[in-house]
Amino acid sequence: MEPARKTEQTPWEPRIVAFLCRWCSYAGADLAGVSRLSYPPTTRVILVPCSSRVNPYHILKALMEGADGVLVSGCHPGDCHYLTGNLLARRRFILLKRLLAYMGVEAARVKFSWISASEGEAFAGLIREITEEVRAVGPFQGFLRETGEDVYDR
Amino acid sequence: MTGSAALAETLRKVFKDEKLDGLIGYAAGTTPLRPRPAVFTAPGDFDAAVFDGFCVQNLATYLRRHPDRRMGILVKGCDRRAVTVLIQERQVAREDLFLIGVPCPGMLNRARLLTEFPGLETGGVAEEGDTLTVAAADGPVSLARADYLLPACRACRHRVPTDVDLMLDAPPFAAPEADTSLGELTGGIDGMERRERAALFAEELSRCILCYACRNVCPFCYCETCFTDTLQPAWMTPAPEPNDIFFYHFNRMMHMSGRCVACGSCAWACPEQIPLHLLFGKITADVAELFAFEAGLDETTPQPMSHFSEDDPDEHIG
Ligand code: SF4
Ligand code: SF4
Repeated sequence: MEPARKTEQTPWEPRIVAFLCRWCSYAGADLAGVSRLSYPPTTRVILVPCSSRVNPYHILKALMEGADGVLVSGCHPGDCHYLTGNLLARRRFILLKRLLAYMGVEAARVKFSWISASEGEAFAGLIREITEEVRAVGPFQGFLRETGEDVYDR
Repeated sequence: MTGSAALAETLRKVFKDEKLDGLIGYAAGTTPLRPRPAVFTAPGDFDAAVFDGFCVQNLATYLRRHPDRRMGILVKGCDRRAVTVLIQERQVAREDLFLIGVPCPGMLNRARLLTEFPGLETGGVAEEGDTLTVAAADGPVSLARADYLLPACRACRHRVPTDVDLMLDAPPFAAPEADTSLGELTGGIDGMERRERAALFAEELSRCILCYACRNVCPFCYCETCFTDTLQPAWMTPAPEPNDIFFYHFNRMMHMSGRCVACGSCAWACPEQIPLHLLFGKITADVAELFAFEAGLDETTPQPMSHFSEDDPDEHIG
């Protein structure tokens, strides 16, 4: 993905990469589409078999390759197609989110949620919300780029 | 106890009596204040054996290199816990091992001693009770051992190994136990402004040369192919930049969650003296807080990242 910050002609819009579980949130996004709900078009959806398929590598790499924010969304607890994938992911994600914040990454950049196949409205709303939160913190400049003087070298 | 004849004798006797194929311990190293891990395989080898306040490196790392052998291993509290984790992960079998426990006196900060007293040689630090006598350039200096402990050791609450086959006498030197905790060591950073935290890690990790010493020394970094080494997908770029350094450390810590025994070996091994205890301390303190789990205390409690509870915290789901 071409980093958004490199196209200087058009104003910056937050780019969100959304990892969506095929059994719920992906269908929720589909429902938002067929219901003709509007949400920011700068979202890139990546289909995954389960929220627990999403590895910390994927989240970090998305940010490194030009995303400004990442969403991972799966089935509500109890609804997982594989019974417990989302519960395993929940454990992993809380550590991930805390470590990211600890190392100085804005909390708004990575978000987790549960969205079912029937929640098209919730999906569109969530994407709008994330986009605004990411807009507030600005384009992602890369990890370990903020020095004491707040100088970015790219 | 440093290089004492008594230690050599004890280990030699165990080696013979238990008909061990090898015994993993420490021997005097070639660089000052850095004993090296050694695999003793013949009775004559044991004269080189040492144990002092610089035997930081976790010896459990070497167990997997000697499969199908009956191995003896010298264990401090953290080495013993690492053995437990390796048993849980089916990397070694308890019945193949003969564990020789040593009550840990708390390990010393070599880098700090060498900075404050340049030119120290091996044997330049005499340990007695709770004091250190350092052979400084202009005469001996006395220091409190407690002031020179490594951060991980200051926070350690499990110095005495449990369930060993033979327990050695406590060495005649030790510092008082735990004056801090991993939560406390990392809590200060949690309390900072986000920008300050970002700048702190940008600064510290800017020295990382990605030599992977911290990975190689860790008892739990035993994957045959590390994510840093795969080419398809190539997670790390060939000419590493700050993103890659972050990617490496962040993901290594994710892999350590629920497994790290906070032995401090990674921080000790780092040639750039990056304060890695701030990273493994954070993940370990979080696992303790969120899942009430400390790695390596017993073999039967399942590791936290391999299961879940319906009542797990969900403050992060929005
Ligand atoms: S991550 Fe560091 S402190 Fe933790 S077990 Fe590995 S070497 Fe020891
Ligand atoms: S040992 Fe230090 S320099 Fe080497 S990879 Fe680890 S943190 Fe980086």
